[in-house]
Amino acid sequence: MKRLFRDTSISGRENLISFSLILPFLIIFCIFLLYPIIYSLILSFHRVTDLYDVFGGLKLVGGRNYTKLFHDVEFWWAILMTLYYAALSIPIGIVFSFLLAVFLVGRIKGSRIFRTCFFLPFVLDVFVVAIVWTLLYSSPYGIVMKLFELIGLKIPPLLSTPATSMPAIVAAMTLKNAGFGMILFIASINNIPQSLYEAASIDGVSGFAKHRYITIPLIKPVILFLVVTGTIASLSAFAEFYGMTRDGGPMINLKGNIVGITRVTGMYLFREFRSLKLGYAAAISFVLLIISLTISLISFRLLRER
Amino acid sequence: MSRRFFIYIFLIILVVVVLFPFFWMFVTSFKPQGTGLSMTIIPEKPTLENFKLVLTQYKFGRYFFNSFVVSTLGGIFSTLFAVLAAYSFAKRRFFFRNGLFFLFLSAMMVPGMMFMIPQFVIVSRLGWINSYKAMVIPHLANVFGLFLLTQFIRGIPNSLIEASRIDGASEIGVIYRVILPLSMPIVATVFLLSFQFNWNNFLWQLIVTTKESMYTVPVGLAMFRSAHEELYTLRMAASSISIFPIVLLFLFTQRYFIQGLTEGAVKG
Amino acid sequence: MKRVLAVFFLILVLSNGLIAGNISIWVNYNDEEHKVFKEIVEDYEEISGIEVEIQRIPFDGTEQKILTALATRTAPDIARVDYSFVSKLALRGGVCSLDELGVEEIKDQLVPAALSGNIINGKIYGIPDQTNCICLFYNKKLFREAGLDPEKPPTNWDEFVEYGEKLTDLDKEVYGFGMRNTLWWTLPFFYTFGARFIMDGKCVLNSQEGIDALQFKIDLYSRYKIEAGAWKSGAVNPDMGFQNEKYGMVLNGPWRMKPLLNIGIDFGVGMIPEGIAGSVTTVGGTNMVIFRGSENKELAFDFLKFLTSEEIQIKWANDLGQIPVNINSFDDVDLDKHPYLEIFLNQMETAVPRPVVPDYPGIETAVNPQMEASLSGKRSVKETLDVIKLKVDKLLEEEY
Repeated sequence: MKRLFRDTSISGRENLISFSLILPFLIIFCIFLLYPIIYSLILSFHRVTDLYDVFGGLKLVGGRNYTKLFHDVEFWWAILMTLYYAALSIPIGIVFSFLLAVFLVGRIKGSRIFRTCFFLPFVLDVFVVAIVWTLLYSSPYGIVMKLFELIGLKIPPLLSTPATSMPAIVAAMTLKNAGFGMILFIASINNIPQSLYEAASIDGVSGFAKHRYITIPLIKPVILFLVVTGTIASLSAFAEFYGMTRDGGPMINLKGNIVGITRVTGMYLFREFRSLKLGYAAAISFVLLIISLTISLISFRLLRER
Repeated sequence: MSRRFFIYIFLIILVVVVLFPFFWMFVTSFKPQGTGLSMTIIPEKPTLENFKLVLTQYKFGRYFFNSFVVSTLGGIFSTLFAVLAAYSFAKRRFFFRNGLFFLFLSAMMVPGMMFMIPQFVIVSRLGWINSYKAMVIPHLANVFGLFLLTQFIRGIPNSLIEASRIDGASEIGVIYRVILPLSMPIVATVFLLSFQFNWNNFLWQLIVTTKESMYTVPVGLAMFRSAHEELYTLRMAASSISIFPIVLLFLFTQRYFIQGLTEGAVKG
Repeated sequence: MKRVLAVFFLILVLSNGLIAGNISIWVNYNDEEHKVFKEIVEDYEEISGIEVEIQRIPFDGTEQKILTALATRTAPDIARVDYSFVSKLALRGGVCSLDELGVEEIKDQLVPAALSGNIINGKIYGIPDQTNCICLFYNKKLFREAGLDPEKPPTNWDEFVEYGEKLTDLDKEVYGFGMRNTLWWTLPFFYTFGARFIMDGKCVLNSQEGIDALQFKIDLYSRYKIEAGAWKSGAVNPDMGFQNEKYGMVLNGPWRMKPLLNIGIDFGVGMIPEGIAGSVTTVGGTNMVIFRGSENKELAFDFLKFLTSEEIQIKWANDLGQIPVNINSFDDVDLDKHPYLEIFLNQMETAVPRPVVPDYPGIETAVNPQMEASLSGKRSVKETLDVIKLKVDKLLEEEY
């Protein structure tokens, strides 16, 4: 708290100018985002009994939505699997797009075309990507299976085997999204003054060490951005899972509970919302909000820019 | 020499893999209706029927126009608002700055469907149903873009800003002369992404319109799905047409994405 | 001429005791259906003098659009919604009961299996506008290659297994059968074995019949090995497998006829193979509901009466090749034009109504993973069905 308010020394004029720059954003934010969030918070302590009156005609249920949520094994499982997805997809995505950026940042021949090719899938509909990869992965007819067969490797059907279904989805999504991270990395590497590298060379610093001590610290803001947005995207990911493993993927028996490997929180929320359990869905959203916020705060700490 | 050769081979293989969904979408749109899920890649009897149907049976011309207006307005204004705010967050001090930033970020963490009912109620009370306003304005606070720009603008050396101020530039002048040119790749990215967001935004654009003349491309595309079946070939044809403007936009703005700070290019 | 017509309509309207007005309706038909629907509406406008404003919306997003419209009281008078949405709307005061509007006089004409899904706590909240069921589709080419008579689909499950074994040819990656795991597609197995899903508000799937049915379904995959594993996530689903001539037999509905004919697959349709309880199917379809906030409920209901009347349903069936929702129309379906429709009409006679539950998709979400676990051998059939019973009972008791 103290940290948030310590800047009381800032002059009125400075505050005024700062706020007027934020103002257009702030107004839209308050009306169209903050108000709905507050409404959802109120909703999470209620049950909707009359669809004609979703504001007044609510029935107060207190914390019951939350207690029900905390007692649902499937919800905890969904959170666990979502974290698994995030733990796989975020680092792999960052490393992959960083490597692409390193390859393509220089003036190598055709780098423009390559950049375009890698970025394009990012704007493609997740739906299309999901169908295509389902076809590619499908066993025994899919191309991926045939390729593995060709090199003499017998692999299990990727999307329907518990151990491989999540990595298979991560691979498909990484290939789709890496171009975005690549663009950000290229932009920020380009912004590093060349003089820094020159100075390092004069001091006799080797190639690898140059990246370690100059590049990495200077692209930290991009990494932080990708970690935080990646976490948020994982917690609300839905289309890719729905498209590739409709009902939650291969099932496993977890101490008597049947749970799906790819039944992630986005999927869980979608089902409850579709059942019109609006209060319950709101409660889920707030638990997810708290988780994202915690992870984000930790990332901000760890990747602090200096 | 050989190292470079292997890098090229590697990159080319990757490109093939990465662009395969694109290729598949495009090829499928030439397949006869009903064979959308056929596993033969190249259509045996290619046909233009899907494109013809998409372009004639539905008012896609109108949908395109609507989508274009909504996406362009949405893209421009949300990027503008985000740049102004991001500069303030990145380079200025003010009361409750970090708190406000986290408040903004939290909005990104609440799943989108929770906003639907209250946002719709506001828009409806304002009498905006069936208007571009209803489709554009609620999404002008682009937190994702704000966050991205803030992260990036933070990396711009303060000395450049100070120099510009000493030259007598106002804050708007600083943004225009220093911030914008230096963060052009990111500004272009934010614009493209919010253009694309609006271009693909199906649910919201569906619920705020009750006239077919106000429908947009994604709403039109959704007509290809009925209770039991998906007209894949039609959907792929429509998706191919629909993605075209985005690809075009990207190709045209490419130089902004790729351009970076080359020393000496910046003059205060 | 115009004036004469106007007077004529005025008299017509007055004689009906109605006040001319307009009603609005949201529908999510596909292209062909929408065209026929528009013709029907035009006929209705001419006869009744009531203006009907049609708004076409996509199938996806229908529920969200209705939800938001209700919150702002901007919903139309009528909308076409999925079966499972009717109960959700009814239990939260979204739609009005049709009993007060006189549904009594038409309800006996409607296909019972299609209507019954609309009865919630003893009241009728919707009228089916479309109904369907599933039958057995088989590939005639693959039948011939396997030395089977392409005009004789299997009539019972024993024959089905026998045919399946002949059809399965692993060298060519061809399987006799491809099936889905979800509850709706599994109910025909349960029903033909004589099991029931819900009785007196309790799930009774874990009866001996239920156990036998699910065991049989599992055996198709793991014992007889005639099933391709199409139910696994990410596998080639029955639609894809059948279309690519990899699965010899699949269960499917009338909506799949036209696409398959278009592609030129040589296939036939038969009844669902008989078990000890005969050949039984599940029912699907959509319904029309009237919203509680509608100011023209009587007019709206009058239109629905027209839509489901005998003549209109004959038109609907013959123009589109679909099953009519009015029983009286069955005899007038043009079977020369739609030869396959006969099988579906026959199958419809033994259809078991959809279970009336507050939240059908919620039940699928609870049940499907359990069934998949037992299909993949992670749990015994008995145990699976006991767990399903517990889960479904809990959902049925839940407050809405």
